Amino acid sequence: MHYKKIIIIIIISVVLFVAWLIGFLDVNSRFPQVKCEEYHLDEWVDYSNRYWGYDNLQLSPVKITIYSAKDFESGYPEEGEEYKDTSYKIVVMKVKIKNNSSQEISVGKVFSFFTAGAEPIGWNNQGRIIDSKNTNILPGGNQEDVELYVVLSESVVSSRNYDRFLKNKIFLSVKSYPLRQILVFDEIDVK
Amino acid sequence: MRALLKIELERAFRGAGIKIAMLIGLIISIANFVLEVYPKTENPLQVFVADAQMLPYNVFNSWIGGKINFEYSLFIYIIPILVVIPYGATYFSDMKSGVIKNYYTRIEKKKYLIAKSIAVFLSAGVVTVVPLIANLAMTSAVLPSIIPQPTGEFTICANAMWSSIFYTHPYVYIMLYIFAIFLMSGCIACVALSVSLFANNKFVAMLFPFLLCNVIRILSSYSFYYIIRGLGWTRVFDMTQIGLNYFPSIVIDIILFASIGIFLFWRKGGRDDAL
Repeated sequence: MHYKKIIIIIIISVVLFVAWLIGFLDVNSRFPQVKCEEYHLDEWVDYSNRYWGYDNLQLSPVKITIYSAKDFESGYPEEGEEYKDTSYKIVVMKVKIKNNSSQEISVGKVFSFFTAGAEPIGWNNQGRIIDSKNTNILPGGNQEDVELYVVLSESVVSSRNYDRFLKNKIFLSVKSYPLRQILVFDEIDVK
Repeated sequence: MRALLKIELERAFRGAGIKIAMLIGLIISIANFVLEVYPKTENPLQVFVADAQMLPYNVFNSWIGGKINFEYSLFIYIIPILVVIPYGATYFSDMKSGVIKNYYTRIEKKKYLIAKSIAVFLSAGVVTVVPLIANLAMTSAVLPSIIPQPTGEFTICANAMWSSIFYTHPYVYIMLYIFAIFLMSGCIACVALSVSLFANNKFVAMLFPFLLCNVIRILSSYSFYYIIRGLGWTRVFDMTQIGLNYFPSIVIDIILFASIGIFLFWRKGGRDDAL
């Protein structure tokens, strides 16, 4: 009687395990892991955005600078005014964007789909464009350098975590799934 | 000692208490699967926007420990009660019924107390983690296990405990967290053992851990210091970690509850006269 019970438990366990395994393999074959493409300095990623109807754009990472709130305010008075009395750090990312399409594009619209991030620590935030009033790019291969800034507050990356944060891969995520495309900033300039 | 431990573990794992506690936990776990996870399986791309920084519905933002919702909040909230149901009050019952005399006339008191603590600790841990693992297994069979990306879809931020593990090896993160929950649950349940030494009612012993957890949670919530604020068990058991790194709080909690539940029980229980 006792052995019968054990055999029944084993059979049920095996059936459940096989059912789980079939489900696990099936769903993960339908939705595979992300394939990641990294773009470093002087490398261009082709970009299109179906939502805004933009096509034939190219982006490339240039540099990243991390400012104290005070330094940011002296370098970028208009944007820095808001943060001048804070202990925040401000991450400024500079990206080249080339408009190979036949229509004028709004950089603000394009960048509203991007997220700045750091891995593996898991930091992420959406940036704001510096000089946002003047960010349309004309068609026909015109190229602009665009800067965006992201605030790094204590609640997001604490001062204890800050050194660890600097050792991370800091990037601007352009696409996430199924193909992940990120603009990676290799050297961080800390002011 | 081995024979005694075997008896205690059999009593703990074959009793009605563990079945009831497990059933409660599994009902919550299955309810979460039915209400939150299963509707997503029809089309994991339902809210997915290709150009936005989004992933399809996946295990790590859909399973019970992946985001705070009613079922998970309820599960966390009843943990201090759930963990004592299987075996937490049996020291009290053993004393009241006189079973303890049978033990003490045959074996060393210390060995009985240790075996009792181990049985309470393990049964409590199992009762807490089995519903979580069951939910994770069910979810991982129907939703993809896409490795999380820091794009704002996940609550675990850069300051959170083990965030680097979460964004590289999410299953390792979950297992580590489940292990921490196992330890914490075991320690909370052992508090009932210590209280059994003072209490004159079984339910006092069973409900005291819940009361203690709530007192700590409420008092710690007034603190401005995040480590103290993190001592509340609802934060410790919350895998979504919306706040800061609560690892020191978890360690303090485990030491605190282990001191009350295990060491006090061994010390006072060893001295008290049961015959």
